[in-house]
Amino acid sequence: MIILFLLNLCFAEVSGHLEAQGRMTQNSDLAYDDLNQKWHTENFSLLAGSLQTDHYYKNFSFETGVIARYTYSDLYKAPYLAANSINFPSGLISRNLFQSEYTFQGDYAYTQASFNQFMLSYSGELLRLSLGRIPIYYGVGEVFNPINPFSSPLGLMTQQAFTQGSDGLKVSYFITSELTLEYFQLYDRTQEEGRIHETIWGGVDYRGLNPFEIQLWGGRDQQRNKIGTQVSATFEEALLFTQLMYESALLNPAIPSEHKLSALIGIDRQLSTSWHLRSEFAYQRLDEKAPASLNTQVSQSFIPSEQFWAIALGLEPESNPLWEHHFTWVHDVKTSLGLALLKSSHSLRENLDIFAFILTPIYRSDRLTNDQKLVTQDLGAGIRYFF
Amino acid sequence: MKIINQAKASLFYCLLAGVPLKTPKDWMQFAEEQMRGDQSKAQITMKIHNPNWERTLEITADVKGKDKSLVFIKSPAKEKGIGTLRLDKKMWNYFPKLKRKVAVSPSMLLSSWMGSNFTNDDLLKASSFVDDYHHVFSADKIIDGQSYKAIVHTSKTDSKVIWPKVIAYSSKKDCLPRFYYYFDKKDNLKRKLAFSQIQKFDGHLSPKIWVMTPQDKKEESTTLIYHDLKFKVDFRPQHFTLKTLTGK
Repeated sequence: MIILFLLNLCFAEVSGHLEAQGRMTQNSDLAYDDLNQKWHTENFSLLAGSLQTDHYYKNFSFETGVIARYTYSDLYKAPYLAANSINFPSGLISRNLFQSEYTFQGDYAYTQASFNQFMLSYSGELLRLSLGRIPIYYGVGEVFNPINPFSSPLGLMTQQAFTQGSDGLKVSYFITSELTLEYFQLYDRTQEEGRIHETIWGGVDYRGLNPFEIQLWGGRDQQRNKIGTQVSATFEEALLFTQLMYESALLNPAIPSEHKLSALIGIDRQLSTSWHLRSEFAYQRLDEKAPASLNTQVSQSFIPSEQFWAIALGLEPESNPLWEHHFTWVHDVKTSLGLALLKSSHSLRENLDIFAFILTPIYRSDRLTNDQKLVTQDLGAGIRYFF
Repeated sequence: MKIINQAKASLFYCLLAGVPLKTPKDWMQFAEEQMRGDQSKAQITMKIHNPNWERTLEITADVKGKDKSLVFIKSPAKEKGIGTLRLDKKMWNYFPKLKRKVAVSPSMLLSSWMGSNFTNDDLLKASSFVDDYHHVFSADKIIDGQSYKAIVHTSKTDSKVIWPKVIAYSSKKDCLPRFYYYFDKKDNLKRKLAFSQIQKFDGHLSPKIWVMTPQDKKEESTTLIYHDLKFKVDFRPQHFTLKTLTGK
């Protein structure tokens, strides 16, 4: 893989980014007292980078992408639980057959590197076929996107966003301009001592019924049968969308489990030339008996219970569009945990950004789950260079 | 006097086009046929000027009719490959680094395109003067010592356009607009679009340079430089589709 990647580097278009970030993190009193997380304030340093190449020859393309990140903090020494959630998403690969993700946990640092994209594609008049490690992103949800089990939503990321890769095959068939069929066959052997699990997944995207776009997705994934839909409606003033996802209990009856259900309803609207609003309301019925693979969808340690809503406001000032500000507020209805994230970035030069963010939990009750008690208060800043 | 003006107008021949342009609608139809055509493929440099910063983007813009457009950013690196597809009232953005396609609310049409003084509506050519506005002649206007034919466009009640009134000042030589003045609901002049270096692109007369200046911030401007503009384009039937947006 590495030789092919290096060869592609020589002949293909190359792009990517470098990022350096510093973050000051403060522990919550609840985690300190109740969960034995005996620390108050610590620093994190992050160095990260990505490199993408794509090479096209007639109807074929070969695309690669590498992501690497190095995180340094005293919290790795103990280790404390907050160190596990500082990088979101924590994994670079979603369905991992080749187990090619490199990780190294030192006394004070954690290093991670992998191809998140390594695929050969054929593109015909109506057909596109990709084989290898494929980034899969679909679904309109920014904070919660249950229709897509293969990549984490991007709304609460504080690092440069990326899409996780999945190993297997993807076939897209563009039957008409209004109708697309998609099929994935993916493999994963990161669970159950290297046993290979197959994902068979298909979808229909229909755009012929104005103002609606209707998607149906379903298949067998991570030992559950899943079926879901996304309906979005485009009006002059706003985009409305909804998702519904049903997941059966685990197919292995020997393991106690329950079915799951997720729902999302939201609106996306440009309020003025500067202001942008997005609102999402989510509900999920969790599997209390087999919760191990749950809740990988939402950022940081913020793990919602049953219902939550998120409101995001974006501001790109007309006076200086090189500044961008995003404020997101997520509120868990059951436990009353609120999570506020304020992100600002400024384009210093054509390909150079500086950024800062504040992430803080706000809560009034002692109804928080243990995972929610671990949510830290963070202040970060950094620089990104794109090439 | 009004009758005389109308009579003069009815006799007006566009010298370069060699066709009579009797009504203000004829003038705008001629301008749209020349500058927009039925379909086009353009390579454009966009220079955004602000007293405190400057920015340059290279873009390609494919347009078919009033309801199909596809725009890609070629540089800078940060935004390279980002695409926007518009099919009638539906819009999608594609972010190639994330392999992510996102449906976009049509309300985004009124927002600035990549921080420039052009809106998404300007770039994606969602509205048409001929179809979306009523047109009347107004008194000729002298700008920089030159007399221009003035046509006032007021939006039709059923059209979903951003600007309720636009005045076009067109050259009497080639009948193409040299200035568009955009007015808001309170009839305040909000921005000016100036065209220069009219030249032949693929058999059509069209300006090479477009400069948009907001009137409340006159020190700012955005310049479009058309390096190439083709009208005899044979787009594949599948060109304006999500397949093209999401990959070659």
